[in-house]
Amino acid sequence: MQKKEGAGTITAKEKAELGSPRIGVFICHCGLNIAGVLDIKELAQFAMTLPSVVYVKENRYTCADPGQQEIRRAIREHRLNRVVVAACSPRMHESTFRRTVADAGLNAYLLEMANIREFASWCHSNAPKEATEKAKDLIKMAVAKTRLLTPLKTLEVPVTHKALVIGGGIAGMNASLDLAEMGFKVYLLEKSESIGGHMAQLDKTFPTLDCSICIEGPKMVDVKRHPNIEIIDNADLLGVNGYVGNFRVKIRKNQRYVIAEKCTGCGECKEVCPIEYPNSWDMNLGVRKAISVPFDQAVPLVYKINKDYCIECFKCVDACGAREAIDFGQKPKEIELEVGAIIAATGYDIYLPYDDPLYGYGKHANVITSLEFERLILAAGPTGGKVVRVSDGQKPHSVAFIQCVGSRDAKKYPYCSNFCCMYTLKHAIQLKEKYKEDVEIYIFYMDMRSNSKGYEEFYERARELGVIFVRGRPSRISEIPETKNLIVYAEDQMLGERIEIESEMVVLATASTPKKDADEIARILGLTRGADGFFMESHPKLKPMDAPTDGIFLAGACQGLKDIPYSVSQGSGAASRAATVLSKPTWKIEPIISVVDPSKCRNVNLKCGICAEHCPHKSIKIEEKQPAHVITAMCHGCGTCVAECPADAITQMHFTDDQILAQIRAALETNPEEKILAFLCNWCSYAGADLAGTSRFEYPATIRPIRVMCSGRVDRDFVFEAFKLGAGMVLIGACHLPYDCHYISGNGRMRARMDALAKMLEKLGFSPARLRVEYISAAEGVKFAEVVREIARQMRTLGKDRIKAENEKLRPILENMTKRKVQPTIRESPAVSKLTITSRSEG
Amino acid sequence: MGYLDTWKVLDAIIADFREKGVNVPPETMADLRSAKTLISILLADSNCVSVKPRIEECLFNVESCIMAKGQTMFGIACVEKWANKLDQASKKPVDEGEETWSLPSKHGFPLGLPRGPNRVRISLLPQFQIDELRELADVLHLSCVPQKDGSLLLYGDNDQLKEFIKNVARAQAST
Repeated sequence: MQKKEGAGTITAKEKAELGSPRIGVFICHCGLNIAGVLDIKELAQFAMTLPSVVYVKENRYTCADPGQQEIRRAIREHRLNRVVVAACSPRMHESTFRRTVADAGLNAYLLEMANIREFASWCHSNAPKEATEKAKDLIKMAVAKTRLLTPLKTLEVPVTHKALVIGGGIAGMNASLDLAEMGFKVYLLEKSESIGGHMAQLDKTFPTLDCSICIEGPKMVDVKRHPNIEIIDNADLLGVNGYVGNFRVKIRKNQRYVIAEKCTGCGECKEVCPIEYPNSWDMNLGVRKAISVPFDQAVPLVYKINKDYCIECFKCVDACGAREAIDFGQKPKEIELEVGAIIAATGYDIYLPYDDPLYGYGKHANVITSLEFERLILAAGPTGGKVVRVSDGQKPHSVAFIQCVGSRDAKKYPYCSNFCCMYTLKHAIQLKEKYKEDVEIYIFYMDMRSNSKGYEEFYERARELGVIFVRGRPSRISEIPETKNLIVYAEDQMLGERIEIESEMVVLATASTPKKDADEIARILGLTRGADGFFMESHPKLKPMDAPTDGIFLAGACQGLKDIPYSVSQGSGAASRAATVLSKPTWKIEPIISVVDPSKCRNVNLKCGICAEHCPHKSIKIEEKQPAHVITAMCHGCGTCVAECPADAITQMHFTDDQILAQIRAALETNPEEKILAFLCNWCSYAGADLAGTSRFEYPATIRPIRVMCSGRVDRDFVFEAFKLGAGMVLIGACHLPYDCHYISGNGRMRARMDALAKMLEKLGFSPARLRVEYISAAEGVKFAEVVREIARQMRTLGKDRIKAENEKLRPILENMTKRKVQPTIRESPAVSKLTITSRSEG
Repeated sequence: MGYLDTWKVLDAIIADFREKGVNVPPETMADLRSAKTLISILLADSNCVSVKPRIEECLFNVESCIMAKGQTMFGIACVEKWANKLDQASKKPVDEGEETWSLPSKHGFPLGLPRGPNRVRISLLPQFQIDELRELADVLHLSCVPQKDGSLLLYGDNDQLKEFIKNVARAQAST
């Protein structure tokens, strides 16, 4: 992959054209949302006093066409080379105004927003004076940063128009078929011998009771026969390198000891094989031969020898005869692929409750799981569709189904598995329809969840068939030794009584869990996992199929448990998301990336590599005696490396040390001891603060927020600088640990850094409350407001005098620590003049 | 149409032609395997009639490819012999799932056995006496149960079962 020349930066000529800063400030009324609280005239007059500001304009609605038109006109007429828009949150309209300034010929990154709506007028509406003062500071901070902005160029990388889909279950198959139909080449990687996933193990699907393999099998064949799809089965993912549009994938194709191209799937080898062993496909209730396929409808229909069970009698070789498909010398093969996008559809596992003595699973022969029941009732299963007891092979006349085994259990898996209620209803209906009055069915449940199309009617159908529902969780199950029948002890919550029910078979609806190898897949793909262990999406509402790594998407149960229709939809959705990458000739990357100054990088002379070690996206490469190298297309712009670099050799574009320090200095220019300086990560705590504003939660106006993309960007030097300048309190707001960080682990790095710093400050005599780290999600507006109120209270309790005294005591140490961070010089335009202050009211 | 019988004839033609040096294209092999998968779906549920046209499509793809190659390489007489066999197979009744299950059956339902991957069943080979196998099993503390069909069921620790298989393979190699 070749990086385009000059990507991310501009040429010296372009820089020269920029000249000294000429900043235009546009203050939005937002109807009365801002103007109803803040004194806009005062703000405009104040803005005119700020260095480099040459033009100030008020707009009723800056984001509307006339407002944007005014920005474009002012850029041309007043030769503005930087713009500040004081309006709503940059999370809402930054992209709008970037387009606006770009339309006027200005670089899109020469824009900064001051969030005076969510952060001032909406959250301090009962204190307009304080709100206006805060808004002044917000504008001052924005102008201070804007003076140091440099133009940046969006990066472009070429795109390989091929995709890798990992996992051949129903979600992965749908994703593959959709992408293949769009004309993209798809590699479908399947760990096991056949595609199909769990759906191929099922007898019927709810609520329609369609034969599962009858609807999925033809789709499996479609996948195999599609000219754009190549199935790589019986294979492991070894590694993934590269970045969006340009991934290099390493796969190991494991040996089958059968030559796929020569095997016709006739099965004559299986007939003569003398060894049978338990078939895990049948949940070990059935068997397979040492040479076999896991099930007759397997795709690809290629046999495999399991060497663990092969006695090397070579009867299979004789049976194969002229086909000559058996090859005992076959070795695993490594394959390398290049793809532009990856879809992870790795599915889920089933919990087997051997470790829970309550249910007697593994101890009592006639206690089975729902998937085992599924294999029993399936016509092609080990009993030919007869539901019989493991103890004696007899048909049960009473069956107790127990819900939520392991799931919705704080000690095991606290989440709901989403589909257990429905498959238990399916099993109950199947049994009732098959054996009618000859079988009695009990379902022990906590809540019956039937929240999709046709599901409630399905529940009603079970009731009408005479299924007995008992609300209550069994306390234990015991076995009657003579009959091997089971006694289920429970409390019927509806009756408020303890009950005991004798049943000839017990079926456990056990929790579904993340795949055993989810950790390994997450490591290889750079995915994060939620508290429940499933893969985390980039955003639960707005990007539910995007992984945090660009170009990687999620489908099916690996992202969270879901039923078949939802998995199918998500497979198609992920394909559509992947196509947004694959359909482009090049992929554009926001240039807020890290850049290494080779002259400062310690790795040239020493063995360093701290940046590479802490980069969450592994986008920094280190070679001995060479400066660290940032792979720009892989850099997500969290800035963690910048804060970690001991030599200040790394700069994050658009969030440089100088720019952030300028914001700090502007914020603390007046009455610093009465201010809370806050660093808020863009994705969670800043969004949480926005929500506090949107929700009109009031909190003290003493807070001065600075937006960083990730809390990992918050350098110790920023905290030193803040206290050196006299800040009352410092707050760092981050995404929740351990999984919520949009940059995988930036918040974790920040915590390690700040824990060490807090200890040091405390030793130096600082009140511990003055440096605070809080984890606030985008949904926690209430928490943000509460945290600010609490910090403000603590600040008042400490008192201005004590804060001043502590700061004074530490100032020499802090000055020493921050002396390398010199204030940048800005060439002021000789032509800077305060041109105009106009407002709509003035016409 | 007897799909499975037709499939078996096609499989036999391919084996025969390949032995004679005919290069069968990978797409044809893929169609042959797809046809078998689809036939297995129909065998699993005879109501799944929607797969029938697709089975026929796959079978026809295979037939047309190999018969054309056969005619080119071996002449019309060779092809006619196979064509007659295909015709006979196609006139057989439609395949349907058969009732084959009985307890204990060849499906290996673990009647009365502990749960898990802890058993193997070995059909006796001429080179082994049942006592020889029992001896090998005893060493590894595996339980043996002779089956009605003459095979031997062994159960116990999974690792020991695998060790047993290795020992049998070694004994096999030395005979």
